[in-house]
Amino acid sequence: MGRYLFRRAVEALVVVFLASIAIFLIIRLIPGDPAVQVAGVDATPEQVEEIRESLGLNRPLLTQYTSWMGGVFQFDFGKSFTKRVSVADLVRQSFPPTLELAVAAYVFALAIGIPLGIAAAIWAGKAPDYLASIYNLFTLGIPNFVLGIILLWVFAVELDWFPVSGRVSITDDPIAAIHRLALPAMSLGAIIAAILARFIRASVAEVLAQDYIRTARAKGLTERVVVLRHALRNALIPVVTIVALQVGTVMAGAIVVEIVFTRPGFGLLMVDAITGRDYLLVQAMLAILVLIFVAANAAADITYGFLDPRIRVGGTE
Amino acid sequence: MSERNYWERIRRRGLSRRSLLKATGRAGIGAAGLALVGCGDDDDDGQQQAAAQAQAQPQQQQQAMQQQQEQQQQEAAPAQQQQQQAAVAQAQQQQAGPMQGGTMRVGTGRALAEHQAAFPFGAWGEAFPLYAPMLEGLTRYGKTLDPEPRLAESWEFNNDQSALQVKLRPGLEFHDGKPLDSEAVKLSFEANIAEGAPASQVAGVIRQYIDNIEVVDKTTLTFNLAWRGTYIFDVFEYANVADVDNLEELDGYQRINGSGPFKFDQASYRVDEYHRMERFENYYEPANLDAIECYTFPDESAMALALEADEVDFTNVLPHPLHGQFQENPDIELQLGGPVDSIFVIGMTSKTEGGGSDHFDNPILRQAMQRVIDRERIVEELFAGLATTRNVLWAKHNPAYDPARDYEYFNLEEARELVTKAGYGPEGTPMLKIATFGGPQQEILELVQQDAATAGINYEVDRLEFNIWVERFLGGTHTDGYCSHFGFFQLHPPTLPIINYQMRTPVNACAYDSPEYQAIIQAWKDAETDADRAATNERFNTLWDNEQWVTPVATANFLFAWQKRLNGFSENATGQQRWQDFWIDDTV
Repeated sequence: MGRYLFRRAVEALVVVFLASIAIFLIIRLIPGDPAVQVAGVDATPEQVEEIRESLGLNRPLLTQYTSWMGGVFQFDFGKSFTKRVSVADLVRQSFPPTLELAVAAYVFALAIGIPLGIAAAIWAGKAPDYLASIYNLFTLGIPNFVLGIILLWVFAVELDWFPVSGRVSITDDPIAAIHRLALPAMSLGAIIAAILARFIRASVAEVLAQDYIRTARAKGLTERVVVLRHALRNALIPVVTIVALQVGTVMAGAIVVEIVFTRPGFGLLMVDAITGRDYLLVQAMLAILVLIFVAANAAADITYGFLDPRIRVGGTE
Repeated sequence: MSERNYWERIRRRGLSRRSLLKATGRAGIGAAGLALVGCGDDDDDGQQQAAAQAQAQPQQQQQAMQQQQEQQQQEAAPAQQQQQQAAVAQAQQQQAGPMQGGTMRVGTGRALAEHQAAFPFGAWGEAFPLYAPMLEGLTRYGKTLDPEPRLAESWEFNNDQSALQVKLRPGLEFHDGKPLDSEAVKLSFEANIAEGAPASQVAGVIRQYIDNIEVVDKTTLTFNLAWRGTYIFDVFEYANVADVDNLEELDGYQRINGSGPFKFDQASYRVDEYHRMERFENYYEPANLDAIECYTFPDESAMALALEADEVDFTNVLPHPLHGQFQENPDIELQLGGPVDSIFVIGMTSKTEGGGSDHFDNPILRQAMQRVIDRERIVEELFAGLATTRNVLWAKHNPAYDPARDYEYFNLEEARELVTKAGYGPEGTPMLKIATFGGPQQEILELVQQDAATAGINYEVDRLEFNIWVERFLGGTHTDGYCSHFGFFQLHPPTLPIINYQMRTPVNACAYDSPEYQAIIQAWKDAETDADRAATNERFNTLWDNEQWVTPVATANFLFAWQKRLNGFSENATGQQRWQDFWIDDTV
């Protein structure tokens, strides 16, 4: 396990390094001059040039990259061109709301998707299975921002059960925080729940057809024990894969959902940063997203080993 | 933000949970009764009875409905009475004067951080609520170009209007208690134009209009003017008095030591999200409110929802199409901004070294473009009638406004003649590119496109990202033209070529310049009398009629909206409010 972790860590670093180069170059390929953005529309060309120099934008690309990477190793991500505060502070402010939203979306997805998938598998061809199909049909066909707007209109504006916008920190007031998280989490998590339900249905159905399940039933175990204790553990392996793979979907979805529900977070900040050609901010945020994705996949691989002893990380059995 | 009880909202509309349930129950019973009555006997007696019953049915129904209505009226009467009482109480309260206390929640589409350190030196448009409460100027205009006292108590010109002596109110302070005296005001103005100062439009007018500033005593200072006359008040309209020792900290909003009726609560500040301003007790006219909270929304629709859900109290950037929806909302007060405002314009690029247009370099073609714009249709279709057509650049109160020139230019035949006169054949111009960054500007261009093609001006709408659009706009390098909206047409005429990007010389968004234009600007500067100024205004209007490098379309009015319990709204000639006047009526 130790060797495996070391190897994954090295691989992750290589991926992040290559991604950082790609990020650095791609953002600079987008037309638009950040110095103009910073200088403002009233600036003279001389003022724009001064600002370009102060931001280091007139240095060679390699110098800019090495300077940035040098700062990153010292946990100094630089100062945002447009917000005038340190990138680290901005990320520190914006990341927790997005993390809250992502976790809440996953909780919702797991709470709905797993039971729905299991029920659909156990009662295949019956009402629960049809219910799951209808749920999948609707949620997979509706983009998350459209679902968000519908939920907002019905539950927040018309019924007034939920607030329209804003965020309360979960550490300040957990009840109010969850109240404000409910609709955005549903918008973001509904689609993941549908995907989970489909995979779990297939997975549970396959596991329930295995010989050891028949043996368990033959031993006189109740169906509940058969499913929950014997079948579920193996059937949940695809869940781990989906949760890991959906990290990118959740982060992308969070951008739109944050705008719909006026929640602060990574998404809004990322849009601002790209629009404003805030190179340092974009670089830092994308690098963090890459790290999250890599870490999620590594965690998924490690979790397999715990779920199924036959799968050993490191390839031995 | 506060939670809102659904039933409380229903109750305020004159209904109650009980009456709703009663009405529902009654309707159910009525339906059941109708169903029972509908089942008659087969025999004759039964038929007769059924016939008699059927005859009696409408009467019975009518009686039941009448009873139900009377019942509802009786139940609604207390609620109506309540509403009337509330209205009376509100009127009485307004007569009695503003209530003290409370927090006003403002929704805005712009973030504080977007304006960076330049904001002490100019604030306008939808960004006013962000920091205008924290910063004050010497004077502000009223409804027209008549200045009203703010930090300045009084002022007086010398004989030839080449100097303005300003007297400050006694005892003024910055928010940290530092004296706001003549020296502080002088330093604040000079900081605008100091080397290394952030770029701002106000810096331009300060450099042009003011020669120097002399401190006479603690509360008196003299502005020696490079341009004689009342133009200086255009500077005061936008130049805020800021603490020069605070300027570096302003970068990133580390600390804002302001001069206005509210002070910045640094601890509350969340970038791009929220900030809070608290009443400054030592202001010369302390505010009625305890605090103002500013919430930044990523888009206007989200803000409109928040307003409807009573999560904000005030906004000045409500989308016009929502006017109809909010008009029916009994809790929301709406007001269209006016009497003066910025305008949508179409600018046409002259030929430059770097590019520009071979076609719109010809003023005759520009005149043709002026005549293909159906301004009335634009106002009706795009702005739901909530704007005003604009045929001339100047606002009506502007000294340069000439009613004789303010008529509907839309005339496709005339436009076609001009296109021919400009040297184009029956097919008209080649495909031109007129740029926009989206929004109403794009809609205007799309709406005008067909009429323009009919007259022989063929163009495609070139949708650009905002950053790219701005770069070309500032450099006058849009291919053929652009559509946008800009203000300052309500200010004194000479301010326009200083402060407006389309009017500046030699480099402006339309790449337009001419000896006559330069001569007019000089004539404004040299004018000694009102007659001189009027003659120069007329000269400019004639030039503009012929050259039309930028043609107006319609006004870009703010749509203000606020919860009815909020009072004290006012709007001056440049769309600014007096933040100390707002108050909340808790009885509503």
